[in-house]
Amino acid sequence: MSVITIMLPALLLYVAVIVWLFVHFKSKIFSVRSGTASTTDNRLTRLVYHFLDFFLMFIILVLLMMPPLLVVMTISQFDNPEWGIDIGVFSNLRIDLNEFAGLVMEPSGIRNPEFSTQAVISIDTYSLFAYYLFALISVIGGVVLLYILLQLRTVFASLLSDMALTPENSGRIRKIGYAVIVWSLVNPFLQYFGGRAVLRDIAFNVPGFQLNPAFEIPIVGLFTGLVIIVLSGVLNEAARIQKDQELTI
Amino acid sequence: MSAMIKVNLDLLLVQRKMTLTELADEVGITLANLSILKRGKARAIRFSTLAAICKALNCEPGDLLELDKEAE
Repeated sequence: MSVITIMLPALLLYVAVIVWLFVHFKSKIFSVRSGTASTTDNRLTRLVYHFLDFFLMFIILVLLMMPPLLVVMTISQFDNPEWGIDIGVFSNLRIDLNEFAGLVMEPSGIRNPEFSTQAVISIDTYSLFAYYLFALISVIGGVVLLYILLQLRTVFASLLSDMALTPENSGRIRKIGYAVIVWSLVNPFLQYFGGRAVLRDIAFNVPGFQLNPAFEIPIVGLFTGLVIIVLSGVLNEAARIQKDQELTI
Repeated sequence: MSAMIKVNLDLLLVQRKMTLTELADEVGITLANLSILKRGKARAIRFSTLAAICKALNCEPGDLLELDKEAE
């Protein structure tokens, strides 16, 4: 099976999806709904709401299209001996120039010619295992993002209909906070064990060059999640006051 | 919690031979809000509303509100 026969339908499908997205959301994005008295705030909320709508649909489609596209890419490129795919592995990289004796001139200005960093290292691999593993990690991330977006979209919808201060909305924002915390806790483990599996798969035996999977405690993510949960508590209190206010005659 | 204070609006309306709509018109609050008050669902009442209702019904606040000791 040639590359063209597989890639062409995939490309056509992709173009069709983009066209469908554009046609479906064009009216919502480029026009302001008439009929309701729109204040400036309301217009901004509506814009964000439609953006979320679009983004949500986009993520759903990406998640739906990713598995077939992965298979198509694998089938079409499998026979190609030069085939490889870039994956980003969060790793600790250490380069010891002392080991490159004879290759490197004596560097000036540094006491010990040893460099280290913690970064996402791009690795070009032909390992299908690595390819699917990292695709799976991004799909899990996509599902978490989808969950957060669904909650956020409902919050914005309630904001548009002036029903924002409710215990339900507070619950939704709390769920977003939990999702952020869970993802902040799970993602480093996925990255670490995924990276370990990949780096073990790729034999790495160059002296003076160390590449290990990195693990980082996600302080920012955890803190953000906590702040969101606290804010949901504030909203819950606001909802209670709103209810009191409504029932004050 | 809110059932501790009983609102005797029913009784006063019957005694004054008034309907809820008439009272709402006279006091100047919506029928829906007055209905909330009558059914004992209200969480609070403003002094201004209380004064207006008492004026319309020609009664004292104590006639309108009563501590429901059984609800405790």
